[in-house]
Amino acid sequence: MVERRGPADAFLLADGYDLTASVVQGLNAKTINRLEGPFVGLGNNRDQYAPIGVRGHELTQGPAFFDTATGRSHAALGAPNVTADPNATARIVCFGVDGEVIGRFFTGYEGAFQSEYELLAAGEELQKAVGRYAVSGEGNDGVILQPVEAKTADWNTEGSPVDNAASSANGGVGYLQVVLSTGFTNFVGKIRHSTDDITYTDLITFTDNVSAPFAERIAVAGTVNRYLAFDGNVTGSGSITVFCGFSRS
Amino acid sequence: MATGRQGPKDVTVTLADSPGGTARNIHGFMTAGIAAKLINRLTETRALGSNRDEHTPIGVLGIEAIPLTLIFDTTSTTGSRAVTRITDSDADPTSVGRAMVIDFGDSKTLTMTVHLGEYEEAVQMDNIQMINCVAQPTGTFTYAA
Repeated sequence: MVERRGPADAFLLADGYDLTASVVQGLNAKTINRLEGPFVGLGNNRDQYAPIGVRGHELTQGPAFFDTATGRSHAALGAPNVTADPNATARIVCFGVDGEVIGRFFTGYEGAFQSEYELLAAGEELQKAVGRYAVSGEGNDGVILQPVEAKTADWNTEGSPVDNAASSANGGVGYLQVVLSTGFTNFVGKIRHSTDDITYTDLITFTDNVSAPFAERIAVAGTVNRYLAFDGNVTGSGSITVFCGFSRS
Repeated sequence: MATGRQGPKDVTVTLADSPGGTARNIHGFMTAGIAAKLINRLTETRALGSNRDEHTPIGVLGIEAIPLTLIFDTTSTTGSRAVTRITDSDADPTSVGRAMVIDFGDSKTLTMTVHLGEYEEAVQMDNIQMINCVAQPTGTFTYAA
């Protein structure tokens, strides 16, 4: 059975901004394994290359509609995000090409600095905006626990957990992206794990926050049990749009 | 397999799914062909008094980096994503590399060891998701006679 995907399966979130609907011309996410070479040792007659133990990542988002509405592409990609401050906080980026479905793959970047913001105006098109990112630190390949969805009351995904077939021992990283939040006075998102898909305990607790858009990345050490799920706990009445994924180390 | 001219249906490509790992067929995901260029490293040796270029082999052969374009497929273990994604073991300085074999037809194979240098997932508006990766041959290689 093949498992192919098309453009409808792609999504891109940066610091809680959902760029998916605005991205019109694609997305390229590259992992680079830095190699030294070519070199030839004494007595050797063949080019050789060797990994130096360093990986890099590049992310290029295709042109998006230039949109000045709240929370849209100009707010997400605009000049304030292209900061030259050496002490600037990196952006938390999550993207996927496998579809927004629980259990499908996604990738999270530990620290993405927006290196470029390009605005394009042409005579017979709407304006376009392009952002390019230089990634510092890790790229974490993981699985979706909560696809981008609006929720209006407490919920969890323990009814459809992600089954890893076995526990793992080396911790991992959880990513949370909150796109919209209205009305609620509190929101606490948690990643929970279980050995038997019956009893769940907290693995990661994200910061209580209702000021969207925002994103958070939390690493955890030690055992991660076989089953993973997301739990969202809200206070008051309103609506909140949330994405969560986890990458096992 | 018949001798003589060979066509696309005669090509097979296998790549180990990790350094020292299991060979997996990847030609079924490849839509853009494949090319492997053998380089004989030459140095210029035109000396004073000569009015013609002169080149001399230095005794080193290499194969240029091989770009691969594959259909993005998430099938567990044998899918293109599972086989070509760069992992920690690929980036380890002690990596032994991955075995790769290209059969251009009639069992004329090129067998080599590669390090995966790049892995890219590409979303295009007029296509299904694709993978672009680069396999960098290293060390010894063998062309079947």
